[in-house]
Amino acid sequence: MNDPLIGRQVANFRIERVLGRGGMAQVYYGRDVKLQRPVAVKVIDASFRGNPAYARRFVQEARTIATWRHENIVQIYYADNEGDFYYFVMEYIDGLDLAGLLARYLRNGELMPLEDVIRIGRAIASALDYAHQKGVVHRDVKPSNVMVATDDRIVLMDFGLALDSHQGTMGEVFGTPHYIAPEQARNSSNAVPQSDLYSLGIILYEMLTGTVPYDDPSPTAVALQHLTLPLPPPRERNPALNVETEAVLIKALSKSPAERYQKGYELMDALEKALGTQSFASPIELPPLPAGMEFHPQTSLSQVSVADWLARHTQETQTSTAYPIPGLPPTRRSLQTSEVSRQALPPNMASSSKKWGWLIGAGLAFVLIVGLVITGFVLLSGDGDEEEQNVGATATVEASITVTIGDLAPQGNATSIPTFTASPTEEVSAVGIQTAAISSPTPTATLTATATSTNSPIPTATTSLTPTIEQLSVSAVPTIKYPNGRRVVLLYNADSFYILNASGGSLQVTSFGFERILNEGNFSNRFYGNQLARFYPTIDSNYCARMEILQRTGYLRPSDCRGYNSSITPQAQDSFVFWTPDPSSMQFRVLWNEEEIARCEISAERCEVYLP
Amino acid sequence: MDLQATFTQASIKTSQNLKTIARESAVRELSQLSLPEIDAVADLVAQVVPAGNVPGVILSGLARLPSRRLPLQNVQRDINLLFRGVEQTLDKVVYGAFFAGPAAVIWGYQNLLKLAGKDPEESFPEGTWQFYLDYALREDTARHANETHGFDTALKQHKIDLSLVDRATAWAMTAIYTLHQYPRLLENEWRERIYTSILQNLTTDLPDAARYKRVYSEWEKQRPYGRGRDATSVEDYPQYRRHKFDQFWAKIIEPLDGTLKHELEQCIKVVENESLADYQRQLSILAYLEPTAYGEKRTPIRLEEVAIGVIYRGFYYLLPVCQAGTAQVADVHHVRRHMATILSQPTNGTSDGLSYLASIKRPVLGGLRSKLSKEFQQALETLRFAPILINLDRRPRNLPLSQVRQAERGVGDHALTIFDTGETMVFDQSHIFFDGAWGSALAEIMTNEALSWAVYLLNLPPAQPKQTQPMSLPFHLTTADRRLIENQPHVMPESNAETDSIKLRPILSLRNLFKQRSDLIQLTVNDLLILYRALHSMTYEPSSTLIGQLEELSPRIRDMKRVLEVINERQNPVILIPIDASPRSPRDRLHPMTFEVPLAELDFMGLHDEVIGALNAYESATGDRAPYYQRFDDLQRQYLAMLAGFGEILGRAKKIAIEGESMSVGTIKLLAHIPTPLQRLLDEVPGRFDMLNDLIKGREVFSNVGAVVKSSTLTRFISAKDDNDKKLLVWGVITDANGVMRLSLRDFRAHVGILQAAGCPELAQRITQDYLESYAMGLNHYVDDLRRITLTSRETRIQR
Repeated sequence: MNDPLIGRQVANFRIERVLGRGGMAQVYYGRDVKLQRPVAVKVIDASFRGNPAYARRFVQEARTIATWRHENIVQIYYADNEGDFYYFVMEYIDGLDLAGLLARYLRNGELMPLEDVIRIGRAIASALDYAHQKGVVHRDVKPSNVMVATDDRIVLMDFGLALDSHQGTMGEVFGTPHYIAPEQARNSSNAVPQSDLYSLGIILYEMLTGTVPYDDPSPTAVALQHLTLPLPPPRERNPALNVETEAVLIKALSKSPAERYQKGYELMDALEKALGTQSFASPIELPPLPAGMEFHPQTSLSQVSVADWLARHTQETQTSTAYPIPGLPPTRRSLQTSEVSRQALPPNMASSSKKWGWLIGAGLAFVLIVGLVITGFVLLSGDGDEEEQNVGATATVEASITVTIGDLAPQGNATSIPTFTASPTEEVSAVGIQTAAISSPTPTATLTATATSTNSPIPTATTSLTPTIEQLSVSAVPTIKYPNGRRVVLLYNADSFYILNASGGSLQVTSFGFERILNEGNFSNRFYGNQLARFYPTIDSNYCARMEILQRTGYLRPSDCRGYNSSITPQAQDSFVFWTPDPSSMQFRVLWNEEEIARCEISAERCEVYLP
Repeated sequence: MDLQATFTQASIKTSQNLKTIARESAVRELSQLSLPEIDAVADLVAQVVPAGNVPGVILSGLARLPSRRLPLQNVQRDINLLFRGVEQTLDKVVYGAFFAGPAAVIWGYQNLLKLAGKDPEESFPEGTWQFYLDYALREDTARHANETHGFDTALKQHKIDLSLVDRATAWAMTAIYTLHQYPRLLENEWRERIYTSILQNLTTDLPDAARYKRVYSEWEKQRPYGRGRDATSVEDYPQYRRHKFDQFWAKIIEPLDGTLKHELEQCIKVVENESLADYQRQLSILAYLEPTAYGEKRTPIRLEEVAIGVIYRGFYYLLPVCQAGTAQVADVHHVRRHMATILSQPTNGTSDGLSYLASIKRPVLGGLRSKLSKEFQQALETLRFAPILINLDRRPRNLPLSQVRQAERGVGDHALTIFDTGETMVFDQSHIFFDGAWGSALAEIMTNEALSWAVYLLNLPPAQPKQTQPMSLPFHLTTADRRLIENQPHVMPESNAETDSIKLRPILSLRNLFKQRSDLIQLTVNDLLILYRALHSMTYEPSSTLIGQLEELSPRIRDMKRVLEVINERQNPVILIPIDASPRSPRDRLHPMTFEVPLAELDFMGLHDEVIGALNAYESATGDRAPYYQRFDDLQRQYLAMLAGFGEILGRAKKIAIEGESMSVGTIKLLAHIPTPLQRLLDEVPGRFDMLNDLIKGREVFSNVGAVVKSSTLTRFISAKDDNDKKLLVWGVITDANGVMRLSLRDFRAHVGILQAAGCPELAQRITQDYLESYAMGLNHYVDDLRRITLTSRETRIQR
């Protein structure tokens, strides 16, 4: 169970824990140690290292999206390989995947609110239009590849199967059968931009009716249904939908790509317009009567918005004891998870999975007639409880299903492994997602108060911490020279330094002084408080004074600071920058009116001191 | 002599006279101002209220009064004198062109109080805003409206087919209960604000002060607007809400230590004793308005005398809210039978109604009504006892709200008219009694209450009409009456438009992007709306369709030149933004703040074009793109810093406006990255906004009641303007529970009157619609631009 990558650092990224495991890659939660931000690190699985075809696909994914900038497409920060150890680093998205969200609605016998359907649909459509404009077909659009972040952002993930339409493909059939377009089910190389829009159409169908249109325990049968069966009318599944909405879904899910909407925005414009005519669709519960009558309304759309689910999710992840693994389970399986939840649905919503089973034979015959040879489906992933796997974060791993049809002979030089280096001089985007720190269920931080044996008699706030993000919220032991003194908290990291006035009154910032303590015991980098006091000499209660090094992005900006009375922005090389990590020093000291009152560990990133 | 010179001369004369009085030693002693200060105040008063020797006379009178606090009657008398003085000093044309209206008079008077050493705050015990309302938000155009759909939507969803009688009864009972419960509804509002505000003040130094600061907004998210399923059968809405708040409150204060809890209780008790009753009196709708030449007099009514007014087929009926001779609430069965009677009235009668009186200017209405026939006068007098009117004559839902309300709506003496569109209910509210937020909340509460009555009534057997007729009011005009009311001055003509074309999601997403970029960029959705309003005012181009229509009609319209001037005017407006002041002090109600976006100082438009240009160049560049990126990057940083600074200035200004007191601006200067021109502007943010001065300056109103809670069924909102003819545009914004932002525009610009007089009101309408749509579409585009600018960062190259 011990993953050798945990704790390892590649380039500037420390790998901390597994987020998800899939067919040919794992995704880890990591941390950019320089920029102090969370990241997701996707690593080619050990069993596939050395396999040129997988390596090529892996590299292709990184290349495909590394140069893109789109709000709804996951952003790659860095990519590299060390021998056959391929990895790339992308933004970490804190939230839920859409499959997990839909499962939650389903479990409650509800449908997602229409505004969220539109919002999510628009985001996916926008991402797809962008990719298509760049000549790339995603080929694996499905709910588990759509992340709904806690900050409301919708992100399309996992371009691992993406087809560069200029380069073509080997002809494999990829994609999850529940969302696969008919032409793609026949042959992967048939995938066109409208294939992705078909998949989006299935997602919309599912969001609006509560079920996918085609379902069966056998993936083969599902693929055949896409190929052969007419679309089950959406209004049969959800009678509350209006005719206009049904018409949009029917067009979006036409068997022929030419008959579908040609652009994502066209599909979503049409859907929004159609849903707009369903005015006031949100259910309103009747209030109690003056005489106390009871009434039992039927509800269809959920009152719980996606934002509410995300808020609950945030609470859950803060209290849960096991970090959920994001993942792959197809929504079909979510649908099967709970018989109880199925029973809670309207009958026409619950019966879909078996409805089409009898047609498999006919479909198979059709396939034989058209000369396609279905050689097999390989389920590459899906262990564990899918409900749990859906909850979590970041990029999912590989496609869940590979369907190989027809001629599978690899084309091109299968043994050549592409070179894969990122320019080390390149700046990394400063626009990356800042995500909320996720608390670990089993904090590894331990605190040890030690009186240091330096040449100072001052007891020192020291910490011995396994470096995890929990450090930021754990108080270091306060210095005790003036135990009844006024409390001040120093918060800092490599990029910034904050003096939080927790004393209850105001403080003269000019009385402060700080100095770096060099390992040999000398002092350097003297900072005088009056540098902070050019405009405002005091720090108000619960306010902060701050120093933020210019052109850095990892400012702490502690939420405890109600506001800032003073700010300066030094250059990294300024002589008074005393708190930044430096091999020559482990501590800095705090002066109050020239009297040393505390020593603080630089690595602790927090130090409480008490003023006389 | 030109108009300006006439005005200036009047000011100088007033100033000279006032200075003579103000420099007298007795007055100087009272004011304790230095001579230059006295002169400055005197000049200011004379400039805004050029009223001959009247200011001097008033000052003399004030100086003789010993108390620092003046009786309200004295204040009202003095202000009326000032109005009269201005009217006598300025001729009609100069008065119309330069006189800034009630705000100027009240402001001038406040300065006279200062000269006489009196306390302006104490002399306006209900706050400056309330005082101002009584003088300056009187007219029909000063009413705002909102709309809810919950009643009909719920009936439809639950397949409830309510008869017309029961529909009308549900709303009548709701109105009746609202009037009975009103003091307790107000008490709840007051308690929630005051409790949380006191808590916030007492906990500022606690480590978790931030938590206590958020308590009111936490409550806002969960406060119920109707009785929930957990309400007991005897618990009415005010009790239920109070009970819910008490539960919420208990949890909030649980962690506080005993001493602090005790202190909190004591403070609350003191404030409750001192001001709750005053607040309830101030905001009560159990009152009618009596128009005088310069202001409205609010006259309270006893509950036992109160009725609700029902309008059906243009006829007015009154239903008492109490059972005869008691203060007991009227019986529902009784009301229902009355309603059945009203709705079964034969259709052959006619009523002249009152709509022609509703838009007559209030200053002349008082005098006019006393000259009408005795019967008419008596009917009007009786109607005053109906604070709520329910108009059962259906209005088309597809009209803009401003037009929905153009139906029988009394004469403007009352607080609220409810219109029925068959799909929604529209609540037309007097600003004197309601501000936007409270008005919307009450609409929501009434909608839920009506729904509960509807379900109750549904289960009753059909109502039989009563043998006795409900009281009906005969509004029949005699020929003499008709002659009398012809040619009376009317309120400014308006045209209106609404749109929901603004895409809110991209705006919210942009705000997230800003936050990711830097937490210094703190622009609210409303800040972006305001910013773009200024940009729009300078960039608007009429659509080609509109130009075509104008050209086509040009030969028919004599003053087309003026119409075109209006349409093509490019002026950065001073925008009046109403800010909710009630969380700090409920009786302060609202604080209007003006803001002029510093377009020229910051060269917003130029910089925007430059950044977009640089971005396009970068994106389309081939080969070495580094220099292109560098150029874009520099401009991008500058632009984003500018936006951050803009947000900071507006945020600071709002904070000062809300808190109504001086704040140190020293701290903001320290924010890194704010460009120098912005820092200079920050210096100009005053420590305290002078409400009346701001009201004088504002040229358009931009009122955003915000996003409603998920359970709300509010759908539309229109704001109101004060009676100053210089306010030309009124923007209203609401975001409904589906996240759709609805924007309304009431247009009072000169072209409206010209086109209406020329028989082309629909063209005025199209001009307004075009203006509004171009704002909405332009804003969407602007937000897209900002998103592009913010999202773009240097691309990471991966070697192939």
